[in-house]
Parts: sequence; structure tokens; C-alpha cells
Amino acid sequence: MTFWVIASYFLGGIVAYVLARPSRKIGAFVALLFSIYPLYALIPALDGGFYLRFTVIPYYLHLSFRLTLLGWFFALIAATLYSLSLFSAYSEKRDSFFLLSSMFSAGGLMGVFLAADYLTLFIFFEIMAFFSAFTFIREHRRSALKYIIYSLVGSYAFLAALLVINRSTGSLEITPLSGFGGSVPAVMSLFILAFWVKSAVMPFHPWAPSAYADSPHSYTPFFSGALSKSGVYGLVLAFFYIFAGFFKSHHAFGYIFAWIGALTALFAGIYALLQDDAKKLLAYSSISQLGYVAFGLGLGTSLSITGSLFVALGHAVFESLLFFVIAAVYIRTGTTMLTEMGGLIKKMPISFIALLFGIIAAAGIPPTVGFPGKWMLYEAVLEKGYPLLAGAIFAASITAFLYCYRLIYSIFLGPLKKEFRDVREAPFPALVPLLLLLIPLLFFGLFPGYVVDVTDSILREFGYLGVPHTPAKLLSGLGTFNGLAVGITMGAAFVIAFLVHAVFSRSRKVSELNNYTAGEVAEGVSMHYVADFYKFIERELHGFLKLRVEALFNWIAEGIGGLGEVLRRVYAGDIQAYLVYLILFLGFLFTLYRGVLRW
Amino acid sequence: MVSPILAIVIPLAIAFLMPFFSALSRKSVKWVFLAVIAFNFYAAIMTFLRVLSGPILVVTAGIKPPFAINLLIGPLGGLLFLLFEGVAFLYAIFLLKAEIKEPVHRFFMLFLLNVAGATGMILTGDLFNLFVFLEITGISAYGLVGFKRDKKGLEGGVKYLILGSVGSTLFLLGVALLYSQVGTLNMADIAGRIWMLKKPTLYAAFIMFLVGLGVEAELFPMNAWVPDAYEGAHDTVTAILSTVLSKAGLYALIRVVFTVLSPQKAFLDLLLWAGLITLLLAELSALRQKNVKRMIAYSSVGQMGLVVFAFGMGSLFALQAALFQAVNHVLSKGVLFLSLAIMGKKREGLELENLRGIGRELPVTGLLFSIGALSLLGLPFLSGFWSKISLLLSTADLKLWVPLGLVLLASIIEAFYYLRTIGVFYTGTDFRFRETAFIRLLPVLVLVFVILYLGFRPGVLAPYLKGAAKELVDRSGYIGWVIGGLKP
Amino acid sequence: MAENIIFYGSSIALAAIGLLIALTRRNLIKIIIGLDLMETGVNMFLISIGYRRGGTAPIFDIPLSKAVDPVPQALVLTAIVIGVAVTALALTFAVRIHEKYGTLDISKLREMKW
Repeated sequence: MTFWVIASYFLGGIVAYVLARPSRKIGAFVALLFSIYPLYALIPALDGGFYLRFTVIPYYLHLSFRLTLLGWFFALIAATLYSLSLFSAYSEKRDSFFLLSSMFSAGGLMGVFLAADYLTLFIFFEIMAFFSAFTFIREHRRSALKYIIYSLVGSYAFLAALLVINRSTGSLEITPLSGFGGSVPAVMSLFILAFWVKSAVMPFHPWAPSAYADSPHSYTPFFSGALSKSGVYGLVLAFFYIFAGFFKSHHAFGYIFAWIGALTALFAGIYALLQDDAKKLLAYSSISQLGYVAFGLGLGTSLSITGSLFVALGHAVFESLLFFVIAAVYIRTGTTMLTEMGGLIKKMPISFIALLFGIIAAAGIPPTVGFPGKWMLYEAVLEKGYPLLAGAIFAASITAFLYCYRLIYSIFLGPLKKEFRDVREAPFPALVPLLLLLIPLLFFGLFPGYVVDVTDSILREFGYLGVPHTPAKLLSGLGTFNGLAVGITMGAAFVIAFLVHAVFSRSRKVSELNNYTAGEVAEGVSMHYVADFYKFIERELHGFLKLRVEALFNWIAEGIGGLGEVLRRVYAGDIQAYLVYLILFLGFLFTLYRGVLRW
Repeated sequence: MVSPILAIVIPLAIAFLMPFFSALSRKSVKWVFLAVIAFNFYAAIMTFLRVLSGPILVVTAGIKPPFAINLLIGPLGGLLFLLFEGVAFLYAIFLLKAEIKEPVHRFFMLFLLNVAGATGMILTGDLFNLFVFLEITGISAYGLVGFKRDKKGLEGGVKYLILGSVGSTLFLLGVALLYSQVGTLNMADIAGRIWMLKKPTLYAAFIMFLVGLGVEAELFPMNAWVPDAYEGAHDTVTAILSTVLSKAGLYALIRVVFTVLSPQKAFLDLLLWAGLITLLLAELSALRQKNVKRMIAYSSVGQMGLVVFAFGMGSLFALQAALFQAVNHVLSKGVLFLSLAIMGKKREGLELENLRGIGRELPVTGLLFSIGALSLLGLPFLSGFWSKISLLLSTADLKLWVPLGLVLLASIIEAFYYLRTIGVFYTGTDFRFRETAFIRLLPVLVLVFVILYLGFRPGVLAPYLKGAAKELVDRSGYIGWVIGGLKP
Repeated sequence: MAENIIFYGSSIALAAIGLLIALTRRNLIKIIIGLDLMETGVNMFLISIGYRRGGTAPIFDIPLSKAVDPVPQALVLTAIVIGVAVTALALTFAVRIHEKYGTLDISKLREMKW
């Protein structure tokens, strides 16, 4: 069955590719059918795992799959998001090659989550990376290439690590490594690089903003929400399973990683403030959220790991919800630029509601899925007693408020642009994912305990204690959080406020012009003040923002290119130069063997 | 039962009859050519099947070796024989519809000579005979490269000629050195008496062989002719140079080092590092290359470097991986050069920007090119992935961590420029569908099918690779086949 | 063996001279001549391997100890034939290159590089 969970995507990709040639909508529909089967097959597999091993390759290599609880957790998220993204793709009338490559990337992702040995993990990681890049290599070659090269550097580092592990243990099976000698830090660094890159935690994030912004709008939710989870999956596996012995005995490593995560959350949040492209803003927001995840993994307590997994789930829900809203808006407006939009609230009310809940979750406000994870992370860092780290992570959450406000304001509030006067609500298929994602967004916010049930089992597999909880209530060493109670309180407050507003309001509907220019008609003047919304932050941090790690990587890439440019002059085109090389090589060989060649 | 020697004799004979056929009917030439190559392919299949039960010794002039020239086809020879003739057969089909400059019969004559020479190189068991076939292959290849008689073709041809003839002269010198001390030219016989050699002679002979055969095997720094000749030559000629010819040169080098001279650690280390430097330099040179054909030429050099690197590791696994990589290189480069030839017909020049959107115009060709390239850079479930991973596994087995890192770096560079090329092929939208004739696509389709098949069932190749690698490692076995043991 | 040193030395010297010509001359014809000389040197080397002082032609009725080694001679015959073919082809190239480029200067042939 595990086989079909993966194979369904590959088979479906090919079928959809063929069928989408005559009709793109049929292709997308068939792809959807094929993508629902894995979802159906995965849901009941909650209890226990099963092991499946089939030999494809007699060349002393084989592939093996196993459904672990951790893998199941992420696979279910990915399968859900992928199916939802196909609704959006249906509305966008994506072509056959997109369906093929996106289906293959989803299949690759499933393979990553279900792999039982390193080689299988690597193979599917590669498939995922290549085919996710293929979804947009045609329109945006530069960012696709950038993405694939970052991925390849990571996955080849992982390959090197797996070769080292295979050399010293003689096995490729994913098991905890014990008694590995002094090279563990090096091997572990190589090992986690792939996942570090994929989860776009700083400093290996530069591929993410451009790749998220340039990938097809219906694909980005899956890209950001699910593909990045393969990175989280790998990090969890590395820290708490494969290299658990090392990780537990070297607190400094976890502490540094927690700092990296916290700084990622903070700086990515700041960068998100300064973006004009909504997708770039969300991309940085996504990086920021994964910074929280990395932060929690680095802290390494039961509470923080649970928090991380919860944030990972929450990120998958609300970040992809936000990206889906952008996709829906793009279908009608044809732009993702914040300064080009505005006032769409009356034109696209459902999208607005979805976005509103999305940003509430993104900002980490209860009773949404965004809150409990962060709450656990805050409690964990306070329990651990790292005040500076706590300060950094709190600061990061402030940036989330700021960019979330900017997002909703510049798209839906403010004056309506003239060219969008006849915009309608997005087509129904594009709204399906929005509406469906609202369910987990609220449900897991009200009843976080159901998620913690799963994460507790995962933690126990890794030898950690669970987090005490009931369906609605979470307990930490410092306090409790009751999602349902908070939800009811807030709901009641909202109802009361609404009633007050309805009964005592004396407002009167006026035209927009009255609102913004006091009745004066100001043609051609933009009343939308989003353009330089956070200009002052940019001004204050100017010197700091110039320091970009991307410049370092670009410099390395340029250096390699330049080296090639210089070195290829060896092929000078002059035949006599070629002869000289030959003679020189002869001379070199004679010198090399001069000891032997003495007659 | 077809004697494998016919696969050398018949193309040679027909090659010189080509003017006669041309006088008979100008159209018949290409069909005669196709028929001869098809016969060779048939002979190769038959030989390959026979080799499965044991090596074949073919004796000429009715005298037993080592006193007469013999052919010996072991598992390695059988594998390469099948590969060469199979690929040549596909090229022959491809050439049916190709535009070839007049006089056409001379082109086919040279092509037949080339195939015969390359076949001879891998089948012969005699060192001087190897030299003769090396020269036949070389001369016909110089002629083929210069056949277009435009500036680029002539330039590439003359560069190849000068380096190639210096190389083969050095090879002859090496043969003379060996002969002066051992007094025989039979490879197995020399191998059996290698203890008679003084160490300086052994090393000097190795140097001569390495430099001499390194020209054909595209090893740095003897490979400088490669990009120029590849760029200048007719497309199909480039394909055969990159696939068959380079492998024939490589085979000669490997055979001489492993069987004849005995694989000393010093020799293998040198091969390893020469291969690695070739790989890195070629990949770096390809990185900023504007002309796609030249870029693939550099990549071809790089792949040869990778194969030589793997041979230099010398373990049984490494040799299998090297052979697998060589097979994959033949398949992928065949696909790349042939599909590039199809694209070249639609556009002026093979500069990258000229090929913008070609994948939309020629969807099938574009897809085939992409699969070939992706196999080369190791996308899982294409055959190139399995050879690369087994190569890396054997590198790790020997704890060669620095070379491992460098190979991975080279792979990243290679991935970058191939993906960039594929990206450019699919940029833009407003292109009309103008796919080429099916008969020209057929050879590429066959190669891609093999790539996909091996991608899902790499195991089918394993026993043959193992046999071939064992033949290289087990010198006394080889000597035993030729001297005494085997009934002709 | 010792008496052959002079042959060995001179043949290697001839080959080296040929190579030197190929390296230093710019004219394609001269380069071809250099390559030819190099080949001749190697051929001489082969011949001198088989040389035996006072030996005569290896014909059947002469005792084997008195004859020179016949194999190198056979080899050299073949090598000469091959050399002729290479030279002929090279000269063809020279003619064609002169037609296209109007010069035989090998350093002008740098259409393709890097």
C-alpha cells in the first residue's frame, strides 16, 4: 500500500500529462483523483507503522519504505496540501507539463517521508528537487536554477554523508548511529545540510524568496507549506533519532541551532516587512516560521519539539492558505504586487475572510492553529531560562504582526483601484482550498490536544516524554493553555462587539472618495499608502540590510564561473600550444618517475 | 556462426568498394553502408551471446598464438563490441536522412573505415595490430572531421590530425620499447613475460602509452583537440567521435595498463588524478560556454575523465562502475549529439540563444535531449544515476574523500549548465510545432528507451559488467585464454 | 646491445628534431615534415631494435642466429604505409586550408577556441 501511496503520484502525473494535452481541465481533474488516493490510504494508518521492502535494483542497491509516525504526520500534511493545490491549478488551467512535474515532485516528497533507508531518501529527495524546479524553469529560469543549485549542494552533501555512513556501518538503513567516533560532527553537518537548505533556514535561505515568488501560484502553497517540511522532517530525524546520542550530549550544538532559528525568525520577519511582492512577503514569512521550527528543535525539550511540530503543522495550514488567497486574487487581478492592489474587500469577500483568518494565525493569535505551537515554544524557552533567546523570538513575533497587517491592508483595504472596479470573486475551485483550510485552522486552534496526541507518540518513539494535555488544554511547567476556553471567550467577545456595533452603531455608508479625500476628486493620485509603508524601518536598518549572506554565495558562484572562464583559456585554439602541453606532460611524467627511470 | 573477424574485414573491404557502388547508383551507397553496419551489429549480437559461455579466440593465418596475430573477445570485448556496433547501427539509420556534403560515398567510406578500425581496436589481441587499427580509426576520423571542408571543419580536422599522429607515434614508440625487451607483440604473451621487463622500461612504456592513447581517450592535457574537432565536425561524426572513438581509445589504454603492463599502484594513481583533473577542468570550461555543441563536447571530455578516474581506483567495484559509466556516457552522448543535430537543422548556428524555444518547436526532440542530459547528471531512475551512485559508492569504499568531494562539485557544475540549456530550450511560447521525420527520431528514441530501461532495471547489466571487470582484474586468466588454454 | 646505442640515440634524436620542428615552425607544411621526421625516427628505432651486428636478411636457409630480427622490419613496412597515408591526408588538409584561409600559417587557425 505504501507503494501505491507513492506510485499514485507518478502514475497520475503521466496520465494527467497525456490527458491535459487535449483539455487542461480534464488533466487537472484526473491529477486530483490520483492525488486523493494517497490521502485516503494514509488517513487510517494512524496506529503503528508497517514495513515494506521491495528490491528494484539488484545492483547491490535496493529501495525500502516504512511508514513511521513522524513520516505519517508530514505525509498527511503534504498529501492534503497537494490535493488542495490542484483545485487552484484547475482554475489556473495549468498545462500538461506542470501537472506532470508537480505530481512527480509530490511523489518525490512522499518518498522522502516514507523512505526507510538513506539511499531511498536521497533518490526521492532528488526527484522532488528536480521536478519542483521544473514546474517553473520555463518561465523563470534564473530563480529555478538558483533553487536547484542550492538544493543540489545540500543533497550532495547529504549524499556524501550517506556514503560515509555506509562505509563505516555497512548499512544504509535509517537507524540511530552509535559509537561512530570523532567524525560525528562533520558527518552530521553534511547530513543536515540538505534539510537545512530545504527548510530555508538562514543562512541557506536565499533561494526561497525568488523560488516561492516565481513558482506557479497554485503550486507555491504546496511548495512552501509541504516541500519545506521535508527539511523539517530531516532535521527532526537527524537530531532526535539518527544523531540523538551526539545531540543529547552536546548542548552547545542545540543552543547554537536554536539561535540560528531565532535569528532566522527575526530577520526573515524584518525582510518580510520590506517586500512589495505579496508572494515575496509570504516567502519571508514562511522562512520566519521555519525559523521558529528550527528554534524549537534546537532547544530540544519535549515541549519545544512538540511546539516545533505544531508550528510546522500550523505553518502548513496558514501559510498555504495565504498563498492560496494570493493565487485566487491573482486569477482576477493579474498581479501580486501590493502597491498595485487595494480595496478588494467588497469584490472578493470570501478571499478576504480567508486571508483574515490566515494572518490571525500567522501572527500567532488564538484561537487559531498558529498560537499553541508558539505558546509551547515561548514556555519552553522560558523554562530553559535563556532570556536573550526569548527576547529574540518575542521580537520576531512582533514583525509577524507588522507584515500581516500590511498584507491584508494593501490587498483588501484602502481605496479600490480603478482597473479593479469590475473584479469578481475568484472562481469556485480556487476558493475550495481556502474554505477547506479554514477548518483545520480553527479546529486545531481550539483543540490542540488532538495534534499533541500524535506528537506525543512521535516523541515517545524518540525517547522523550510527552506534553501533558487534554483535547483542548495544554500544560507546561509554567502554565496551561486552554484553546477551547480562549476560543469561546474570544468568540463571545466578538459576538458582543458585533451586537454593540449592530445596535448602537450610527455609521453611514459613504463613497470611498468621501473617506479618503473628503469628497474632493483627486484623479491619478494614489490614496493607497502602502508603497513606503515601512520605509522608516528600511531607513533605520539600512546599513544592516546591506549585509546579505546571499552576496557570499553569489560570490562563490561567480568565483567558480570566473575560474572556469580563466581555466578554459587552456584550450587556446592554437595547435602548437596543444603540442606544448603534450610535451610538458611527457616531461612531467619523466620527472615524476625519475627515481624509477634511472638506467 | 559469424566469425567476429568478419566485422572488421567486411567493412574494410566494402569501404574500398564504395566508389564502385557509387558509380553503380548514387542512391545505393547509403543502403550498402546501412547493410554493412547492420551485418556488423548482427555479428556483434552473435558474438556477445557466444561470449556469455566463454571467451572466443580467433586465430589468423592458421598459426597458434603467440606466433600469429589473434583476436580475443572476452566479456569486456563482447560488451564493447555490442555497444559500438549497436550505436553505429543507430547512427547509420540516422544518416539515411542526413544532409551530407558531396561526395557522399567518400563520407560513408570513411565512416566504414572508422567503424572497422574501432572494432579492430577492441577485438585484437596484438599490440602492433592495435596500433594499425588505432591509425585506421584515427585517419578516417581526421578525414571525417574535415569532411565539411568549411573553415571550422578543416581547423578541427588538422588539429586532431597533428595531435593524433604525434600520439600514435608515441604509442608506437612504447610498443617498440616493449618489443625490444620482451621480443613479442602478443598482448597476452607480453603480459605473461612482464617480469622480464626492467622497471625503467616498464615505466617508460607506460608513459608512452598514457600520452599516446590519452589523445584518443581525451585525457587532459592531450585532449585539447576535442572541443575544436567536435565543434567543427558534422553532427553525426561528432556523435561517433564522442561515443565510439573515445571509448575505443579508452579501451586501448585500459587494456594496456591493466592487462599488458600489470596495474601498478603508481599507474593507477596517475590515472585517477589525470581523470579527476580532466573532469574538473572540462566541467569548468563548459560552464560559461555559449555554443551548445562545444559545451557538450567539454562535458564529453569531463565524462571521459570521470570514467578514467573510476578505472584509476582499480577495485572490482570501481571497474564495474567505470564500465557502467562508460556505457551511460555512450547512451547519453548519443542522444545529446543526435538531438542537437536535429535542432541544428531548424536554426542557424548552435549558440545557446539561437536555440531559445526549440523545445516547444520540436517537442519530442526537446524531451529526448532533456532525458539524455538528465541521465548524464544523474536524475534518479535514469541509468546515469545508477552508474554515478555506484561510482561514488566505490569511491567511498576506498576512502577517497577528497576526490569524492571534487566529483560531487563537478556534478553540480554539470547540472547547472545542462539545466540552463534545458531551460532555454523551453523558454518562450510562440513557436510552431515542426517535428522532424520519424526515421531521424528513431535512433534517439531507441537510445532513450535503453536509458529508461536501464534506469528501472540497472540489474540486467550487472553480470556483464562484472564479467568485464573481472577480465581486467584477472590477468592470468586472460593470459591463459590466449596461450594454450583455449581452443580456437 | 651496446653497439645499438648509437642507433637508438640517433633515432630518438631524429624523432626529437621532428617534434621540435612541429613545435616551433608556423608553416603547416613544415609541421607536416616535422611529424614525418618524427615517424621516421621511431621507425629507425624499431629497425635498430632488430639489428644484429653482421646479421643478414632473414631468409629461410640462413641459420636463425645470423639473421636480423624480421618482425621489426615487417612492422616498419606497415608503419611506413600508415605514415604515407597520414602525410597524404595532412597535405590534403594543407591544400584545403590554403584555399579557405589563404595562408598556411597554423597560428591563424584559431577560429575556435576556449
